[in-house]
Amino acid sequence: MAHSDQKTPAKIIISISALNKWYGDLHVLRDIDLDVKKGERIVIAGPSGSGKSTLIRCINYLEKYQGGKIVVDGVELIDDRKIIENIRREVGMVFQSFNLFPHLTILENCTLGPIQGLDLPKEQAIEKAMHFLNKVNIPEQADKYPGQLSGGQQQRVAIARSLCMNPDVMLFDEPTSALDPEMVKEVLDIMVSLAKEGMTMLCVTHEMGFAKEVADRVIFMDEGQIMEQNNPVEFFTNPQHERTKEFLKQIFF
Amino acid sequence: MFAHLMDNLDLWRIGFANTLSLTVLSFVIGFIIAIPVGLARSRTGTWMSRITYGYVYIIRGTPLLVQIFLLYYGAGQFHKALSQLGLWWLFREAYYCGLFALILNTVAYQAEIVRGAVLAIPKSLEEAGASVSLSMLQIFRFIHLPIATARMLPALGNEFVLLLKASALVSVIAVTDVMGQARYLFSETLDLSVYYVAAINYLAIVLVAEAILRKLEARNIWLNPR
Amino acid sequence: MFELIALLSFGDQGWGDELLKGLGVTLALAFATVPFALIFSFLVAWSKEAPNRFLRMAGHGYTTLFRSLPEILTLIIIYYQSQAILNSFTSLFLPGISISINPFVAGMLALTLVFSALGSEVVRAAYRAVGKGQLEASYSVGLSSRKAFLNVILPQMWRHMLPAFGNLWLILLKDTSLVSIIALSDIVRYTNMAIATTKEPFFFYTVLALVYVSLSFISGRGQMLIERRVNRNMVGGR
Repeated sequence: MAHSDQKTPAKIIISISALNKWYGDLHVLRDIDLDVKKGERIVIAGPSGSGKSTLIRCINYLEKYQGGKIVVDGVELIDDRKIIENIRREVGMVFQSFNLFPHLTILENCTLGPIQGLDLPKEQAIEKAMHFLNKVNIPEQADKYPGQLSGGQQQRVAIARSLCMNPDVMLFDEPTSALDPEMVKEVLDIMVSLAKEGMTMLCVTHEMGFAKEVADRVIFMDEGQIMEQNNPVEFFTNPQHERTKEFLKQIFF
Repeated sequence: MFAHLMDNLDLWRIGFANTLSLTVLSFVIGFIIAIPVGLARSRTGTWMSRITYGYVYIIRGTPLLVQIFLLYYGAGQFHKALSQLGLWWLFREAYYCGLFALILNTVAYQAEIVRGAVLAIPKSLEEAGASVSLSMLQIFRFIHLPIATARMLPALGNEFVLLLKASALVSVIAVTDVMGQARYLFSETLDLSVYYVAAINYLAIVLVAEAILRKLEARNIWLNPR
Repeated sequence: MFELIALLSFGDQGWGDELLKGLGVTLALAFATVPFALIFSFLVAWSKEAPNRFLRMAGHGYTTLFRSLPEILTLIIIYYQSQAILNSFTSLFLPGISISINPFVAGMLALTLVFSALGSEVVRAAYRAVGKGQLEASYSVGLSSRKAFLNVILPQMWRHMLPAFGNLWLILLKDTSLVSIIALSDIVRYTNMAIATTKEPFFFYTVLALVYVSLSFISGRGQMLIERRVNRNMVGGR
């Protein structure tokens, strides 16, 4: 059923152990242990303030942490500029508020990273950018500026921008929660097709339909801890933890 | 009116050159100094921020005329000390003293512009840059710098015009800028038209500067899409 | 140090009373200019929004002109030109009598022109910020356009104009120093006189700078109080 089951043994691409983080006195991540296999699709859910966004932001070191360790593709993430830049090259990130560069065209948004970060020749970077803009169905907007696009279009560009870096893993930080309802689907469709192609994905999202359709594993977080994790069928039909049941009740009324 | 103009063409030429060079030099040098000052200003709560705030407050709270008097005549009292420091040339020569005053003045205003632009750049764009593997230097060069420059442009253009007008005040310490030449010619001829010639000089510089500014601003269509 | 402070004493030896008199002239000039400057700001703003094309062009030309000319040049031209006009007037109608223009009035006029060139933009921006909806709502309850402006639009405009007018007030206050050049006895001119006698330029100009900084400080405080008052009844609601 799950993609990762087809190859044995699946390689572990992200390994998080005993991760702890504080904001001042606030303990936002408590002893997080998580292994992500190559090709695995994980959905992380939980109430706001549960630490789910913080967790995935730690993976490409947008957040510092005070305890534990993260290993990405065999390399331990430490506070070293070279290592951080290398890991960010392998890990793509899609933000809740798109964060496109407002002063660059859609095409330039997609080529800046490959040209400056990966030292790709300009023609190749453009070719690649157009390939991925095609994939997210907006090649015709390449010469516009982000401010001229709708939210859904901007988020699709943001996905293409990440894909241009040839990431091994994609992190999604609530990619649809800043969108108007009618635009959610166009972004989810792209994410589903990415998942079907075998991309390793960690998605923080409240879109439970998406979780049911593509996730190999659903993780429920609360108060900085992983409370429960399971395959989607079990997770939705047979939640173990009291908190999980409450959360699911709120989401599905 | 034109007879005077043709008779004194050389005087006007010198005046024009001095006004333009005073304005452009103080603007550019002022901007270079304003960058660190504005950055210091934007780090609220630090002692650097407090010192630069005090500087900006005092400069903006006093007339440029008083600043020029203080520098030019005030420095005369410290003739000996300044000579020993090898700085006397700066205060003795009216042109340099005027330039110095204009720089001190514009730094305060431009630092506020820099500060505003720095505070206007969202931190989320840094993260987006980092997520596509840009180094800190590349983030500064490809994201911070172009966005800040575009945002500063209108305010900087405005400051250039204000500085041009302010430069006319150096005529009170006998610098031969456009205004200085006009005052000299008026004292010689008592012909009011010299002041109208001066006015045309200033108007022309402003109109050209604003045309250049519009050209530059047109390149940043992303600021006002749709 | 004590000798320097003594220079600021009141009476025959010190310059304190003279400086205070100059400060009075500076403040009188600034305060006297404000009402005219405000009226002109509204007039110029109105002409820029007028349906008549020539009025609009005149309004924009006015702003461009007085925004571009150095204030000191505007002041000198106003001072000498109005004197020249007055002279030709008197020689025509009142031969043998010479009237000289009052530098205070010339200063007021020049500062009004400079202030209103910028002020008209402030008024326009405030008018736009209040929004067309308010005007339409006023019409819908049967107000004439004059009454709509006076009773609905204008009261809301003050809130938007105050910060920028506060800024213009500071510029005005500093620009009054220029009248010392056309021989009006403001605080700068008295300071120059004091220096001519005492030969203490550094001390006196520093004192002068401190006086202006204090005026800025007081103005800033005053502005804060006024803004708080004006905004008090403006919570919520548009």
